[in-house]
Amino acid sequence: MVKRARIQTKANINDHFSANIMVNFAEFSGNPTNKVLENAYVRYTLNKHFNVQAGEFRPFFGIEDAMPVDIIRTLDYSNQYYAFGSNGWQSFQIGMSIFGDVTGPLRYYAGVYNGNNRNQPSDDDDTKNMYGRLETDLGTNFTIGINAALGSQAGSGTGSAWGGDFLAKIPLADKWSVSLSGEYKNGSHFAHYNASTLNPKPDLNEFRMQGFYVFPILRYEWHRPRVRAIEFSSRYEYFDEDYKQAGNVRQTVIPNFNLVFADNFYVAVQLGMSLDFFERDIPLTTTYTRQLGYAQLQIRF
Amino acid sequence: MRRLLTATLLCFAAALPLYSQQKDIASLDKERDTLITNYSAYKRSLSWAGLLQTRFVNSFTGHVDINGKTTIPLLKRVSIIPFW
Repeated sequence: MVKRARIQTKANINDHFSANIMVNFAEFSGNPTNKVLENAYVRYTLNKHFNVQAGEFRPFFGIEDAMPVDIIRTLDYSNQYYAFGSNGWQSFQIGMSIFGDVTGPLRYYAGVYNGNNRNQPSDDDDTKNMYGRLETDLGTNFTIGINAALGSQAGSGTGSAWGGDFLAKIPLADKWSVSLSGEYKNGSHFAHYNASTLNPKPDLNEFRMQGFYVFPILRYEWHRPRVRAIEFSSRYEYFDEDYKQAGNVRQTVIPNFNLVFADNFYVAVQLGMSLDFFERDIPLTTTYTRQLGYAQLQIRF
Repeated sequence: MRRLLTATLLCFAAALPLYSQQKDIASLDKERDTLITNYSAYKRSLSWAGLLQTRFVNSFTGHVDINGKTTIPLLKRVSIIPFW
């Protein structure tokens, strides 16, 4: 299957104004409504302390929003990324952000966005999502970040989300290194609240999701003319989409082997397994314990 | 005559500061900044990038498809041979 076929163009109009448009043509394999267009924003850069960005983009709500769109080091993004994305907290959203360096290694991100996902004609309620993120480097190889947001979706009322993450690089020996990242998030699940038929309906605060993942990558810089690096990784994720109601913990382990054929992931071949374990299996749905094997080829250019 | 001489000296005296004044170094930067009078295409550039990600997947769990959805397991066909 073709998972992603992304083309993006970056245009610098002058030293202050730039624009980015990115599309994913692989989404034509299904119903493309509200899909395909991913990035469409204009950025104004006054200096390194102050940037303004407006349009459709990922609003820097966690490290998976901040990482480059064309470097995917395991099978896919985390389950929490997709769940928080479908609830309008992250992934591609329409809005405006400001960001930049504060002082030293401290960076800030803040903004407002509609919170009803991408490619929508307008907001689905009268309030905007607001978010803020602070990120700093502790030493040369350790970065931590915290973020928080307020938001709503389709008249749900105001909910909240918050989280923290870290990213560490640990040199082990000559040519060997470990990269370790992790992230915790907790937030309102608007889709569950809006779809709830319970009577009386519990408060929005009773519909919350939470989860964390750790993602260690052991890397060997082989530096052969053709094979540049080999990586072994295994992301473990714990995620509960509705922990205040019935709850059903999903644990996912993705052992992955990565052959990098060109520096900076310009060519990579990945082999691995995606192992999903649910606390309770529900037949005829995707909430079911399973194992999936994969081979993935990705090229960026 | 004395008036004429005084006026001439005053004119010279008034002009002296113009010669004695040092150059304002800071003003050079201002001049450099103002050299560009139109930033419309200053550092203009256009670049393209892409990502192609293809994947082969196989479900190792029976009755579960590659998207994770379960299906009803088909009942094993049982041959019924009537005895008579």
